[in-house]
Amino acid sequence: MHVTILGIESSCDDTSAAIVRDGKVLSNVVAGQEVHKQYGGVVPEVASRAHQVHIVPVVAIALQQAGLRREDVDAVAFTRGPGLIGSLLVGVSFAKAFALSRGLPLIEVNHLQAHVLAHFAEAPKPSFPFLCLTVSGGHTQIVLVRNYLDMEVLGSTIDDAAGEAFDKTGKLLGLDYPAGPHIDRLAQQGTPRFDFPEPQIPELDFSFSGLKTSILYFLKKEMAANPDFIQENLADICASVQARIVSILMRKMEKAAQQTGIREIAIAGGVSANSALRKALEMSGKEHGWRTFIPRFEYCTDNAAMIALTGYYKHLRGQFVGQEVAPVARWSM
Amino acid sequence: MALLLLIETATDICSIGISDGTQLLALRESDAFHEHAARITGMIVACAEEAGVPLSALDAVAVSTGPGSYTGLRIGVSTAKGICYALQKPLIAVDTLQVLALATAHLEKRPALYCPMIDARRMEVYAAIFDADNRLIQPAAALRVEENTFADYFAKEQAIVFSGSGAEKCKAVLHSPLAHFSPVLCSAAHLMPLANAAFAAKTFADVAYFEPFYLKPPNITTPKKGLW
Repeated sequence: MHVTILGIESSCDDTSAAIVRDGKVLSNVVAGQEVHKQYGGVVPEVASRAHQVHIVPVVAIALQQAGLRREDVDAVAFTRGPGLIGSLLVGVSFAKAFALSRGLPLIEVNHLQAHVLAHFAEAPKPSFPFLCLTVSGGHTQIVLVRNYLDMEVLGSTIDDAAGEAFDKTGKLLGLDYPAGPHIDRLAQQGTPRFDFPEPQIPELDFSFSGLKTSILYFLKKEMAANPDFIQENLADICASVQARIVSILMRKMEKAAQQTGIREIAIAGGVSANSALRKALEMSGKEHGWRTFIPRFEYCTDNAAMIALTGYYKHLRGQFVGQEVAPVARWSM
Repeated sequence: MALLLLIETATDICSIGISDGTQLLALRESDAFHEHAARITGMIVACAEEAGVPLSALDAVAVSTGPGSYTGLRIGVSTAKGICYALQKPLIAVDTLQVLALATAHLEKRPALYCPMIDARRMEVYAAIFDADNRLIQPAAALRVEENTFADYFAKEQAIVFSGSGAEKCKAVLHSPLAHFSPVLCSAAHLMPLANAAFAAKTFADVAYFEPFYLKPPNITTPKKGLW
């Protein structure tokens, strides 16, 4: 007997649907929203409206790519939160109506738990227990993963997410949104010769808002002396900012590994595409004898495969919700 | 006879009905604030049970397009799409204001103009004007209603019947003796005549790409040009 899960994700600006059968990803379709580029960030109302025209096509294509029909779906898993409420409403309402119409059980999924379980989309997969650093435009946290559905957040950001630090720096430097890929590319041609202070945050928590402020003051000061400072030093500024963001992340990861004694170390979320972070993880891994894991890019950014996968593990344990479920903007794991 | 599911979520009232082409078989309404998303499918189940028809027996799903609450419309339209896509049923889109004008005309039976109004926060309403035969006279717009907003009509001795969730707050500023106020509010029950007509004419909306009638573009504050 197969178990086939339709996963639906609409927490931010990507509309996604995926089919997972018996824990294996058969399709993973994402409709992005280029429209936000011109605004320098995700505009919630624009995102919500785009989800409304993307939701049926992504589900239809996900089924088609999986070679399955509507009748083959056994359960519907959907992102209940955290995320933008208008965006979530579209995916959640569609998922509920689809499940109701076909008499299927519903599975609510926490978006952050799903990012961690994206590691089980394909081999190599970490073994339990492992530590996962989830870094994206909206989230930065270290998660202790004891089992598929047994996770504990060991530390998280007290202000901005790491991805936000990239985006806000990009705004200061006049780079397009999202700025992460631009900074990554420019940094490869520069040297990290400018020193931005590392925030002193206790335990395993993070802070990135101070970094943004110190970059702003640094640029203001330098530009008073040389109005062309940014253009003349763009690559070096990018390399310096990126090096600091990565060092903040890695220092806490090393601390978490030391405290827990765990040597299975994973990264998830959109920022895990960053080449400096990948390199730093590899270096630390060699130094400390870690096994390290980074999913392929399509499973790092927001995607429904991770939602359907999480749905699969919840299905095995009979963790369903009723039709009265509604989305939530904030939802801790 | 077309068996239709009727969805009206353009206002603070979440309203669901099932009709068989001539009469309403079931109706469920809830004005619980911010509860549309949680309640809508449960109300659909309750209607289907009362009407004694499974969702698979529906001929189509009719949804109120707006203008209205963005949140309400998102929930109503996404739910309608979910059912239509899952069961391969056609989608019927009916204009919220036209529906409201028609329902008000049916009740009031006056040889007047009809101005359905949907509350749009602050002093704004989404409104349009229809004649007594439900023909559009003035297209939908977001209006900040003042004493003179309808002065041209009143000057021509044309009476206007105002109804809907936005009418009540305009009472205080519309003093003309030609202004009448009707208590009719948005309800799935009112969707019936226009939804039946659309079904008979096979006027269906595209299940994949249909969008609610938002009326206004998203409110976007453009970033300051250049930080330096």
